[in-house]
Amino acid sequence: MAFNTLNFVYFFSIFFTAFWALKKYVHLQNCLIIAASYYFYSFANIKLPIVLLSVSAFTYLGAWLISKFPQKKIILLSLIIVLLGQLFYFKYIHWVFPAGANPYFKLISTLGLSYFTLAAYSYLADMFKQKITFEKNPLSLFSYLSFFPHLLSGPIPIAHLHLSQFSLPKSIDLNNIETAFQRIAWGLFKKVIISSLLASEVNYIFYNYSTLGYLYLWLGIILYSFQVYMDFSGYSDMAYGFAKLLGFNISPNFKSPFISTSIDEFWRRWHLSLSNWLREYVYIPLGGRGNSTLHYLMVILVVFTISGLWHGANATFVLWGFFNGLLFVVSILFGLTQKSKDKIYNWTSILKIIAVFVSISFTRVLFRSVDLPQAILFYKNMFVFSNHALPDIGLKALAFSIGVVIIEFLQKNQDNASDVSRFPFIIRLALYTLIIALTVFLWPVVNSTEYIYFKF
Amino acid sequence: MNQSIYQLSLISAICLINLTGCNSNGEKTAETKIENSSEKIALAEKYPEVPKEELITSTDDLTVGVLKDLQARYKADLLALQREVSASGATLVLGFLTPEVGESITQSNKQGLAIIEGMCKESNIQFYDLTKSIAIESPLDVTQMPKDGHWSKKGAEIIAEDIKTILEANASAKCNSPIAIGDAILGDNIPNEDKIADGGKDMPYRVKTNKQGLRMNKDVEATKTKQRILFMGDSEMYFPFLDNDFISTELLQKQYPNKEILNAAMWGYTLNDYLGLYKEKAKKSAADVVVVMTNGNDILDYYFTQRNLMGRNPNATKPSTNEEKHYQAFMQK
Repeated sequence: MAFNTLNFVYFFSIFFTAFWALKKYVHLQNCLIIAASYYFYSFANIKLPIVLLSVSAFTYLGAWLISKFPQKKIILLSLIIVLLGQLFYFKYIHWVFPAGANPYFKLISTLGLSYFTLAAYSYLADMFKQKITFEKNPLSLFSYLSFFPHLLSGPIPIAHLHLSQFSLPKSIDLNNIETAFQRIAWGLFKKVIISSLLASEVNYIFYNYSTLGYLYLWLGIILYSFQVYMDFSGYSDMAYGFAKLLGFNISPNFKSPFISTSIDEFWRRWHLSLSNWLREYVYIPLGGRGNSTLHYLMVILVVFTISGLWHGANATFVLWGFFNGLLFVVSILFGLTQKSKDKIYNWTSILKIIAVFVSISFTRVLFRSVDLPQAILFYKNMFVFSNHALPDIGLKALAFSIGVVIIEFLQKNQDNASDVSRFPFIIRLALYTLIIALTVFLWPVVNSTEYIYFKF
Repeated sequence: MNQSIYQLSLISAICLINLTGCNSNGEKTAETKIENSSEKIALAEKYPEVPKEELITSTDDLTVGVLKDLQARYKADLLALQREVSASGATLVLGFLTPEVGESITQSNKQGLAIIEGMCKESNIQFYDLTKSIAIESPLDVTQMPKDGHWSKKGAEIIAEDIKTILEANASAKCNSPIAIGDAILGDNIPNEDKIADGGKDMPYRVKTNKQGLRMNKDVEATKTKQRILFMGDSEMYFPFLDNDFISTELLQKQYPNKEILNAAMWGYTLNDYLGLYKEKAKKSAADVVVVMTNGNDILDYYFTQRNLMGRNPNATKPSTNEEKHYQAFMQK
């Protein structure tokens, strides 16, 4: 069930009412979250809630074992092997063993699987590191793992930051409602309007890349970069908003990544919940910066490659992760990383912003291509300078996307580009009317309920 | 606060620029297609099934009778079209075109070829079998198989090459219609459209139509100075999943700059639709040669359920007594 559907509106309206009717009863609220989330999840595939339930029960039991027995390290390792094993079994086995794999319990879709697996991993690892204690009440853990706003596409929760919210009473006030509305309206606009506009142009260019001129292909990677952002950040903003309406604070996933002036800054602004997870549970355990530059660079390459692998069971994703790691490494070696935390923008920043954006977009060919041969041909055709035809498509979508980036630049000091709370009420009202009018006026004929990051 | 107001004005300006951009976009133009009558919609819902090859392969009296009816309707429309085209002083040519030949031959096209060719001979209509070059090629090369059975770029190139025979045989054909067409709409496409379509198959392609509602890169000249060839047909001539630049009519246009090649094809049409389209719109093009691409499926497309599903006539096609009996006996689920 996607956020931008009437079904979800009905679902959320009923849930919202029932949830706040149970305001005084946290456990009952958790029961409601679990029931609603499993119902929500069953829309993707009826088998998926079974996997979620199994992972939740396994995680609860595993956490109990860690809390009870002294051999914590061995227990944790065993738990992680099983936890990642199920992810491998469902998501990656077809890639490793293309023929005859996975005969017993087939999943048509692995939607949400890698998100709640990482959430479960986070809980077990945080318990082991004694950042949190064993959550005796299974309702809190089960609702943390299944919470529908972040179930399908994140943001990936970090246990020591987010789990406790599921045991505490919630409250809501007008400010929270307004913040939630801002995020939902902005997210919906990015997803339904801009991402839809970009989608048809991107699909066209990537499908016809063998016959289109190089300028189209360069435009294609730029539009695709914007599409991934509008789609994913739109979803994340809506998730944040819906969680906020229920009194929860979930991590923001983006912080205006396309105004970054360096590669390292970009990754501090892009898919923050995955970056945080990787930092906590891969980068730091591998030694982080370590004692030598070589160690540091190797760890970065490993982290980015794992990030690529997390995205999908395909060589293209692994290479995409690796090349982004390489970009990071190169920017370190050439001293192109951000020097100071207090950032000052000037005219040269525009060139840097463009350079970072194009570099990141360049790697997106691997992210978008069906397989490696297609990616290689696409790259090759980008450098065949024979057909100089100027693109006459995607310009409106491009203008919208640049418009969003400009708004984000102007709003860079706020928590989110949609945060206009510093303006007087009358101006805020005008802005809300504008965004609603734009969304209604530009609502596409086909309201896509597919999200790029659902498949990861 | 000043800084905030400055930012606010910029944000609003960006939003307004975007809004204005959309107002001028062609996506919201009205469709030129006529609204189907409620009776037609109701009949299409009541009789949703469309028979295909079973109409040819079944040997029972009822089906044979229905097939004969469909052939008779096809022939009647062919003769009516011939009269209309002749009245304009133009030359009518029938081309038999389908990818269902060679390895992919179907009974409807095997028998349809003989039947349609026979009708043309009988009525003295030029007939060209354009499947011969296609038949020797692999379907995987000339169509977009396995994703879709419509023409690939190579298929469109082969067809363009074969159509040259028709153009050369009719190089001197000239009609007596007025040479100025004014602002006439000549086809059933939405005029001045430039969109990316994918036909629901995730095979995006670019469709451009001219101001006369034809699938063409250029507008038809208001005053005729060159020989004008009008093509009508179904999806085999519309070329879904190919950009305009790769469809046969555009390839021919590039090779014949001294002619105007008009493409009025539309998905799902059959001869009855070409007749209606010609009478209502395409006749105004003052085409010298009217080339209708047809195939065996066009005869089967006369079955009433297909007419109500895809036909351009807004009125309902009611089942004949035979069709009603046939539907109840074989199609009703």
